[in-house]
Amino acid sequence: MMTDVAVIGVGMTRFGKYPATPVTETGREAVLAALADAGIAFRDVQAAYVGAAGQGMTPGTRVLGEVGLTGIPITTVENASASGSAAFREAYQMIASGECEIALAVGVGKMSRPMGALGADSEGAGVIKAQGPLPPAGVFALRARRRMHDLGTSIDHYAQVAVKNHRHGSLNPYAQFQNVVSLEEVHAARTVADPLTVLHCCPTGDGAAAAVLASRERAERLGVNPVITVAACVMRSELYHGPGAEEADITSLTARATYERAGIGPEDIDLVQIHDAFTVEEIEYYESLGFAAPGEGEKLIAEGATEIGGRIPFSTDGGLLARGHPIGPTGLAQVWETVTQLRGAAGQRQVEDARVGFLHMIGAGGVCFGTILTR
Amino acid sequence: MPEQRSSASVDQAEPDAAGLRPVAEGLFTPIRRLGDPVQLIAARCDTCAAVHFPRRVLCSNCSSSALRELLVGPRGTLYSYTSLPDVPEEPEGGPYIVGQVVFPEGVRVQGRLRRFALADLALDRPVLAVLGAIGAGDGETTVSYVFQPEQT
Repeated sequence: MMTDVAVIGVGMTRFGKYPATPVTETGREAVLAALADAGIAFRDVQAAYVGAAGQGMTPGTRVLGEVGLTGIPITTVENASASGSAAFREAYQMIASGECEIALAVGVGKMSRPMGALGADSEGAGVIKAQGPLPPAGVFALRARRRMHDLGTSIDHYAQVAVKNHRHGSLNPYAQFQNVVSLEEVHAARTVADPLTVLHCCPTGDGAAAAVLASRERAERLGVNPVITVAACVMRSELYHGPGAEEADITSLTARATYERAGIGPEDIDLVQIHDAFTVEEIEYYESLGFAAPGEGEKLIAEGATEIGGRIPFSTDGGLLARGHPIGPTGLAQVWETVTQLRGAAGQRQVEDARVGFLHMIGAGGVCFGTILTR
Repeated sequence: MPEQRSSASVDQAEPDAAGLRPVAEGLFTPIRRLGDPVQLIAARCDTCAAVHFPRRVLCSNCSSSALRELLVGPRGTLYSYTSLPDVPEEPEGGPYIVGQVVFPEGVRVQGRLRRFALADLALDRPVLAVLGAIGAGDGETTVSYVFQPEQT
């Protein structure tokens, strides 16, 4: 029998470009905020996981050493963009298995410093050169153009995702971008990988986020109210697919497993956070997470269904596109936003009567996380 | 049946007499003259029939080691493409355009698009894999497979 797990505290720094600030500093700030939010001290934490990518050796012990040396197990985890989500899942498992009662998940990122290349030690650089190296935006541009050809998606549909998520970000004091953008501005921005302009792409940035997890019983003893519980926390990696299948399949696979574990379906979800690193992705995920039939994701953005105030709000904090994506902490920023929403404390971006949130995160190389939090 | 060869027959790391050096070993053949059609050196799993490019040691579908070399192309169809205005011009001139090509043997391959006029850039159109220069220096030309429009 697994122990029920609750999220009792969240904290984050505003994402942005802070080239002079080390991750030990942003990490400490986020951890202290999460501990204060939970009403516990660092000495109450029994295990910690730190998600980080490209931050050198042992960012976990370096960040938490800033807060205290209490002898607890501290593990650094890396799953590219999903590193923070992986840290969250490890902390969740620690409590669910009964190993401890209180665990900490932290994510730190500093993208204003060059990171190690993806797969640099495992794939021949020559093969990548042969294939025509592409930045991530190029990979998603290929996906966008194919979908436009197959399904008649217009560049306006994609641009509307950027407009919506910037509008949500403008209501989030922790977002990297807090400005609204118009459809015309998205179209007129600098082209990165045709047909995508820079406003179809998330920014790089720096920052940290943290969450304190506890057994439900310990949360209740601490007087936490409302108790936000983890109904499911699932991870999958890439499944072989032939040349016809699209990469979004990993999301369908993960979503099915997440819903099954939680015993609920898309119809029960009130708000969704996703890996919207590129506008292209959000429309695909409407479908692969079960909120639109295959090929009909465009309707949701066109009808405003995924706006705050719409039927199923997506990326309520601005998403990766506006809140930002410093890699390590991104998945934990999703936890921060969902917990804030489920507590009814999201102010101007509050989703009315939010009770159930879905969190989706992709990591390069082929991993996907699905988490459901409920009030 | 597509031609099959043993993988031991492929080793093209050294530049040939014309100074053409393949960007990586065992990806494409033959390496004779720029602009000549080339085939891609893929592998097909004897156990589950999945096709992989580049070749793998183990099949990613069924983990079988019974992979046999399979030459793919040179004819395929354009699956998608993107152009990157910020990337410096290609050695052969023209914009940096990268696309994915689906081959009838059952594999999708990414590579550079060359000699495409704007009007040629239509998805699902036929393309031809040819030997193209992707870099030069020290009296050598680095070559790879590139995709150009197939005249029908």
